[in-house]
Amino acid sequence: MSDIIETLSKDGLTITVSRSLRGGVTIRWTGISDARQPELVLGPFMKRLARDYKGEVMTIDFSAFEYMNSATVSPIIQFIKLLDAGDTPTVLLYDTNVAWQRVNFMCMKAIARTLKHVEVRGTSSLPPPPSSG
Amino acid sequence: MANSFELTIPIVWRHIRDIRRRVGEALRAHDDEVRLAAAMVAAELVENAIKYGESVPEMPDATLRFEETGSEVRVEVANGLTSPEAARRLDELITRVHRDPDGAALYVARLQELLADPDASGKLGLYRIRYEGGFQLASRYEGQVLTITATRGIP
Repeated sequence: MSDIIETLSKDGLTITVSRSLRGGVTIRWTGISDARQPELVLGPFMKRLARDYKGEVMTIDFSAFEYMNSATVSPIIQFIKLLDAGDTPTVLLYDTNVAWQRVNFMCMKAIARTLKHVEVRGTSSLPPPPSSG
Repeated sequence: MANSFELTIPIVWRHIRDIRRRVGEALRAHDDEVRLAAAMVAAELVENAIKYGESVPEMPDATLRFEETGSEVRVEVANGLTSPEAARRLDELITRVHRDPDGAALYVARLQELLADPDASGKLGLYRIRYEGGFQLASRYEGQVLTITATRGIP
């Protein structure tokens, strides 16, 4: 269970910020991000999120994110850097069954190794296989 | 029989989403991995054409040529460019990306540059085309027209 705190919707991209009843903040990305200068909208929004939730346990869930252009990568990386600098324990979630996510977040894992508070985790949208027993 | 089309693209950003959709539809008989990769490649190349292209007499708009032969997908985007120096720098970058055996190390290095420098931007798309899309890149520059070609085999 979680309560939605706020939502950013712009040109097919939706970012929903919610708070779990067990504590912690989840930022869920859905839709597509293909703006020419995504940093103009994402930069100020994510800077504020990094400030407002500094030090809280944060999950950024990209697993239902459909598409991003390469211009979106830089604002995401800057957001992660801000969270790390603010000592915000952060987990990035991606779907291991989605090829573009798997490839990109493998690289994000390499980046996360250079940060103190950021971890990258794969999750699966597929149902588990039936048990043989 | 080849599955192909050619589009003239006004240098306007809003057409990019249609291009992704059009390429995705042309490859609907193929699996998601190929279809989504080709759509991403077409969108990234057209984004670059719109960002950096110029209207010149030989090519007032950008063009996209798409072809799928059953064994290969080919995406070719052309745009006007008046600076031979810019074309040379781009060709050098493409050669560097092309020579990398898997592209992953170059892609991570570029992400690290973006992490270190908030003002750094651009050029990630070409690394992404090579690494994420699995496409080979080539460029040519003739008569103020820059043409970037991306190809990959279809399993």
